[in-house]
Amino acid sequence: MKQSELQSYFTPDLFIPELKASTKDGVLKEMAALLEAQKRVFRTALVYDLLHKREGLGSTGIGGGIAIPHCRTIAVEKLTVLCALKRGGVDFGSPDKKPVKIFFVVVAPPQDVTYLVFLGKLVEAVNDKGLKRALFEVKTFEEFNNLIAGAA
Amino acid sequence: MHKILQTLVMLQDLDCMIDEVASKDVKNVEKKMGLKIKGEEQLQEAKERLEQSLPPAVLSKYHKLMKRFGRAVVPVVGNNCMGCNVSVPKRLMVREIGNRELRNCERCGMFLYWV
Repeated sequence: MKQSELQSYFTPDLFIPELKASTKDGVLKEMAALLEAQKRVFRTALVYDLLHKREGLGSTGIGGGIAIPHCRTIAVEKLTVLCALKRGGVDFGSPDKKPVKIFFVVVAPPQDVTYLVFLGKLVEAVNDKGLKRALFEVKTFEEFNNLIAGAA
Repeated sequence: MHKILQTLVMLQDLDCMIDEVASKDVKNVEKKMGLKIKGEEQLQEAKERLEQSLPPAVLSKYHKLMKRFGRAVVPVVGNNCMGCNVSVPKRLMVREIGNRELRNCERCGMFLYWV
């Protein structure tokens, strides 16, 4: 997968410019609920339960204000990516203890071969300090999309 | 959604997660992400809890299918069972109807889940 292909996985209907929830659990529920509302999964609980269990193994906060909750489930038809922002940040148990301001939820069906590659490319992209700083200022999906496209 | 079907989907996803956290490829990616995984035994405990909530006959069928095919619940996409690609009855095409009951594919026997 080329870095430029990252952009094609993001869609405006799976973008939350400002999360309402302010706890780790609340944020996971809110993001999983959007996946059901946008008909990517049949029931919120199917994804929420897995994301919650994955967090139980260790936070998916990668540091620097970013978290990438991820799981595989037969509840989705294809690799699905959701981006959500929380300007004030949420304590997500990240190793650097910094509150998380940008969430990327990555959910894929069991047989999807791009899942691990996508996770790797995403981490590579968001570890760029310039991009990270710019992402913190994003207010709309268009701004977000332009930044991701520029990162490619 | 049928309660048993929901439990079966969760159980299979959990089985998948248990395999994943033990996989070298996954460990490498998680390491690259700067993540550490520990406490895998809690997944096993959660799996046991889910299994105990299923009727014995359903759980037995789940285990048999897992042993034979490596999966027991398959999605229905475009009106086809993704286990064997056979068409499912047209009246079940709408997922809200399909997921209301616990059904098995008439050909491969796998539990059907409408994505």
